[in-house]
Amino acid sequence: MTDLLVGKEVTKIFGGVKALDGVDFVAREKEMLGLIGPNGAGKTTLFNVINGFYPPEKGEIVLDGLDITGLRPHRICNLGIARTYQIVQPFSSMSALQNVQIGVLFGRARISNMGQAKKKALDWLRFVGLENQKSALAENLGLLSRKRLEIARALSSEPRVILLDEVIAGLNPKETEEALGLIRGISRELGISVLWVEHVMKAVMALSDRLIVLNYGKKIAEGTPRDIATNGDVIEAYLGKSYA
Amino acid sequence: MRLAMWIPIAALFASLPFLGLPKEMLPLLILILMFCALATSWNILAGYAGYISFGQAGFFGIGAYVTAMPLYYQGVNPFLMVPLAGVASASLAFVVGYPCLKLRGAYFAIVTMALAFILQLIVWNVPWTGGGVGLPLPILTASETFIEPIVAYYLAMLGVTLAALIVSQAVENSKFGYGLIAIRESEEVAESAGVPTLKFKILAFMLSTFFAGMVGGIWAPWVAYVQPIGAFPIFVSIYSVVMSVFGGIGTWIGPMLGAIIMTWLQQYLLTNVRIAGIDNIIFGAILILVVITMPNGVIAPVRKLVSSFGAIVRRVGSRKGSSD
Amino acid sequence: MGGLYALLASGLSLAWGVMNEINIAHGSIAILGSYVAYWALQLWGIDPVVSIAISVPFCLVLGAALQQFVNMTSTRIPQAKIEFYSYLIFFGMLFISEGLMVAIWGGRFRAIRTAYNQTSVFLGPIALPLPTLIGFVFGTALTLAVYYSLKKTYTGMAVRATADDREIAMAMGINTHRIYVYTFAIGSGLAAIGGMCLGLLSIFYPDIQFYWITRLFAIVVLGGMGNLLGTYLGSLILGVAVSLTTVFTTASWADVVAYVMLIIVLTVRPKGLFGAR
Repeated sequence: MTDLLVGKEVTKIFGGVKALDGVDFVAREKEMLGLIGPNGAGKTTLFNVINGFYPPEKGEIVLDGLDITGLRPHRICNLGIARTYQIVQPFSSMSALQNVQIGVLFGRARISNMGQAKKKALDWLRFVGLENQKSALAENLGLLSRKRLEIARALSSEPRVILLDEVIAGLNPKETEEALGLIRGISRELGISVLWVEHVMKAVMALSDRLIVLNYGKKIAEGTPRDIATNGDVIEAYLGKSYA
Repeated sequence: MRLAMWIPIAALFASLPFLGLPKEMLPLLILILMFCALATSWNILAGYAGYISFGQAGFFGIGAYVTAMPLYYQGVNPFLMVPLAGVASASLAFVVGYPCLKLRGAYFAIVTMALAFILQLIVWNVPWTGGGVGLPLPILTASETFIEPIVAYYLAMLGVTLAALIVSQAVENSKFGYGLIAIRESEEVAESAGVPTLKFKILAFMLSTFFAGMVGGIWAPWVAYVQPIGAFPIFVSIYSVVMSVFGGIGTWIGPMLGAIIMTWLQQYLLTNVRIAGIDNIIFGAILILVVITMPNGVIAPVRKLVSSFGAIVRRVGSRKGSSD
Repeated sequence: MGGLYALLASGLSLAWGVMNEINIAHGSIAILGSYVAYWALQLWGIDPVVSIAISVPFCLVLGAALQQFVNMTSTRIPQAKIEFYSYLIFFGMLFISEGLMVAIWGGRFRAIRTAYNQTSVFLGPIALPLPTLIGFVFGTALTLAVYYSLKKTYTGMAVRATADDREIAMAMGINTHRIYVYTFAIGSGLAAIGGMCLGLLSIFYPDIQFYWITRLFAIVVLGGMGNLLGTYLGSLILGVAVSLTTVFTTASWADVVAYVMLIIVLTVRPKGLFGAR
């Protein structure tokens, strides 16, 4: 398994506060890398840096050998990184199909023919199980459907790495199972490297191949779920010193 | 396929003056076409991409001066300069677009309004534009325009308006248009999905000002006088906004509908209700009303009407068939 | 001049900071003040400064009414689009008000002439036109008054709380809608006074309100919206810049300077020089 996305010494400072402090990480092909840590640890900030929304003060991000640090987000998307958002933001007044079409048109595939794009978009909707709602307006969809749509849109950019930001938040147990099945499918069937942030421990521990733990912007642990579960620093970060 | 639909329409409207349309109606038609073009082109940036500009007047004025000055100083046929007027406006949009389009919503609105004022002031202060007094332009005669001048203006305005409508329709269904709509709905998500937001916004801005410039370029010789206050009138910006919002922002047909209805309304108000400023009062009230009650413009209920009408026709048709 | 600008701009800044509303029609109210002062003099021979007694209460009420209207109508717009559409409402009000002014008073240029209009006060080698001085005095005094009332009075604290976090303020029992109305009303009142001073100083006509709103916008952006002191400083800076430019070139170039400054500030530092929001 090759190293696909590598971050070295990534540091992001917001007005004196180090949101990220020298974070190193490696995401490999076909791997599910979980990113966990207490609230405010810097997980979403890391995503924003990888994505290109904030350039890091120090450090670099390398995608398959290409330095993408500080590039504009749309360029980074074209190079193969897609992302979903914690608070789902679809293109509300467009239909589900059109939402995914955007990804097809502007993603790595760069398809310009509208008809072709429509067909591909439909395929992606099928993959996430939304083909029945293809004409529904995004703003009218329920939460689970919107999350599926978000994933479809991200996938339609044909990324090599996908960043999933707290996809499971707000779903009931049954919906959670479906969502997890979908995420597993992304990794196993499509071979895309998944980097996901999650607070639901059971899920992220069960599915991830490896984990990275952040606290106060620093990486405090890295390893398999087993290692992390027994790591003293991690327990301390989440539960306090008395439990370590 | 869609383009073909325009050919008969263009032919029809172009031949109207020659088919016995009374010449007195032409000025009104030119006015309607003018606002139609202004509103439609404004909609490209404002309706699709969601960046509401209050500066159409600025680009209109630039276009006006681009045709006016050569005409005044060298007697250059303004019709030749019209495309250049459009290019000049678009170039300006390119230059100011980069800083201005980084601003959100209301900020962008005010900055574009300021832009129109800046342009007006610059023209005022620079001597070779005639300064505050302006330039009186020679009135063109048939010898220079090959046909009667008023008809020439009509045809020119018709051409620009049709071009604006065609471009607008093409954009709406294109990859570019989808990208713009994505920008309007959620700019950050669009950016991370690969839409080159800044490039697209600038392009949309340039397109919308291109037509505004050309319209201004035709208007100047028609009224035969350009001066800063008259060439950069705030009401051009105001009308563009209100007509599009009223008609249906974000569709290619809405602004046209709004322009037609509201130009009629404005002319009616100005001639029959002899209160100065009544047009602004009514337009302002319409703007507020529309925003509160029908944010998607008049076109939305019209569309519903048309589609339900279509549904009824279909049902009637099928019932007829089944009873056989 | 800076003081006068501060007078006019504070109301805008307040409304902006507290309610996240950009009152495009603010300039209208100011000019309304000018007109009231003018007609008060014409019809009843009332000295303009005194005419504040008429215009201020009127504008306070007007401002309150307008804000009430906005409060009520904003709830009909879907939340997602509210930023998109709310300022259109203000633009609508601006157009209506401009039209009304033209309808009622015509587009002619007007100026208020009193005995002391043209006199100047001498401060060392500098001659200050009296109206400008009046504007400065009012501006500074009222800004300080508003500033202190924000800091010390109960209502003032409620306003600041609402500006910081609307939801928590509501949870604490502050009637945010009422606060909005107060803030807007006070802003309008200030604008009215400013308008009176303007009327003394220069000619005015209905269309001039577009011009003023852009200038005031420049000030508020320059100084930081919601930040009262910032707005005051911003006003001073702009006032000085404009006056200086007028000395070296003509008056109209000064306006260009103002607008260009606006654009530069917006692109380089969207939060304004002193803004915290």
